[in-house]
Amino acid sequence: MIVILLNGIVMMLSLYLIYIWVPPAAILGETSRIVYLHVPLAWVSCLAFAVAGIASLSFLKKSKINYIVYARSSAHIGLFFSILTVITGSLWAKVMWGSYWNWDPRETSITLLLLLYIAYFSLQQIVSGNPKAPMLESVYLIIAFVASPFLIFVAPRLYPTLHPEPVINAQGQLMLDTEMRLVLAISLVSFTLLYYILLGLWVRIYVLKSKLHEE
Amino acid sequence: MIKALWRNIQKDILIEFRSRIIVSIVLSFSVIVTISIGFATGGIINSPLLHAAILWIIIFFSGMNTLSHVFFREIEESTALFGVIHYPAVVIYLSKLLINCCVMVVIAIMVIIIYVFVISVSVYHGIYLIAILIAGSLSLAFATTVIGAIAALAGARGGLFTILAFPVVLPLFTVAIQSTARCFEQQVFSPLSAIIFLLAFSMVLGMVSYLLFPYIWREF
Amino acid sequence: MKLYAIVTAMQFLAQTDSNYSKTLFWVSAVVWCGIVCYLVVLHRKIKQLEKRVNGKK
Repeated sequence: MIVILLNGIVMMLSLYLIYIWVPPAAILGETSRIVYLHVPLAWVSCLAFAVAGIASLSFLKKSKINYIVYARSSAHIGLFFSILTVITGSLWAKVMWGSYWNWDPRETSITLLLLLYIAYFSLQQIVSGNPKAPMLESVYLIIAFVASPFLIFVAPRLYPTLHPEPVINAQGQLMLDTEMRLVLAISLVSFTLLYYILLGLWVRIYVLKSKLHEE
Repeated sequence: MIKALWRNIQKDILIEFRSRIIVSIVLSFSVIVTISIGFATGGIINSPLLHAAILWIIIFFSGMNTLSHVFFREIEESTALFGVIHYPAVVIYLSKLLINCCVMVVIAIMVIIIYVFVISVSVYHGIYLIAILIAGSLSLAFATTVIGAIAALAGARGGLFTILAFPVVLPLFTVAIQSTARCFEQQVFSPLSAIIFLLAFSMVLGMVSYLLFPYIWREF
Repeated sequence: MKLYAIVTAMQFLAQTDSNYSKTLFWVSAVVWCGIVCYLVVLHRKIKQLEKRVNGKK
């Protein structure tokens, strides 16, 4: 309950900061406000994937079914947020670069994350009812988790990208004004708390489903 | 362990030699696709990048038809349990991995020969092309062996293997296509970074698969 | 729903250029609508499952 209230407050604060307080960026104009939504969405997709991978590793190590529940819940949330990231990125791309899809390596890498989620859910559907399902799902998630840094971090750096260089650059520095950095940080925190709340909801759904099956 | 590995590899090669399933599938698929593309384009494609992309698509889908076959056969013929009783899971994994590596390299070489023969493409850097094809096909084999085992254990013989494998191998695809395209251009270039990336990718996924395979290949 | 209404109002307050603002509006609408609907759907699913579990007991 405290987390929900805290998230509510931080979310309201970030809304005010994004839409009213922070000034528009120099070249991007008013659309720069999309950064404070798009980047946290992409961040949560990656975070959800990382949590799912770590939960799968823990399941293999400790063989407790709880970890699989966390992995599946995190994957559900990650899928939802990747879809939102792709939609918001496409809408922004239409204005900035003239078309919804530009085959920019960063755009492609988040879509590939989406494909990984879809592949995972296809596997889950096919093996549901199979006693080996948790093991197969975990192993696949771990392999995808290991392959994904090549997709998300290495591939965009090998080839030129349309994504704004002043923001994401080779020196690894965040070249934003202080105000923008602050708003981005608060937005990231609010979406991370939202992810935590959604994770709790999904875990509750899985627990209730398993209680129903037991009875 | 080396003896057990060699016995497993011999067994798989012997079965393949008798049934010739993999060879016939790969040959038919690559010939049919290459000829279809030749018909559609009149054998004339002007872009090196398009050549590279088509080449790798043919290699990838030929691989998708065959890479999981070694595991499906074990499960359908009920020899998997026998294998697990007599050999450690890592021996089974390594033998299947080596078979898949050989199959992929053979596929890559067959496909490039058929492709160069059917579609007029000028190869300016032959040695680099062979090196990239070998590195790429080894990467494909390393990345998809354990995924083939997952698809076989899931019992889904259709497109599940391709659905599971495609997102995982896409980074290597991107690099392999870009570097293969440069082999079809006259400009001098160094394929070293691409080859290092492909080998690093295969080593990382090979290590992880080696550690994870015993968890899935145990009870039948 | 209240959240979405607040966001929409803030959108109009912030607009200076109509094309950029329209994009910003639609992007924000997708995000906030999506999140609110997702929360509502999950909440309903939990309520349904709790009813069924309590009903079986």
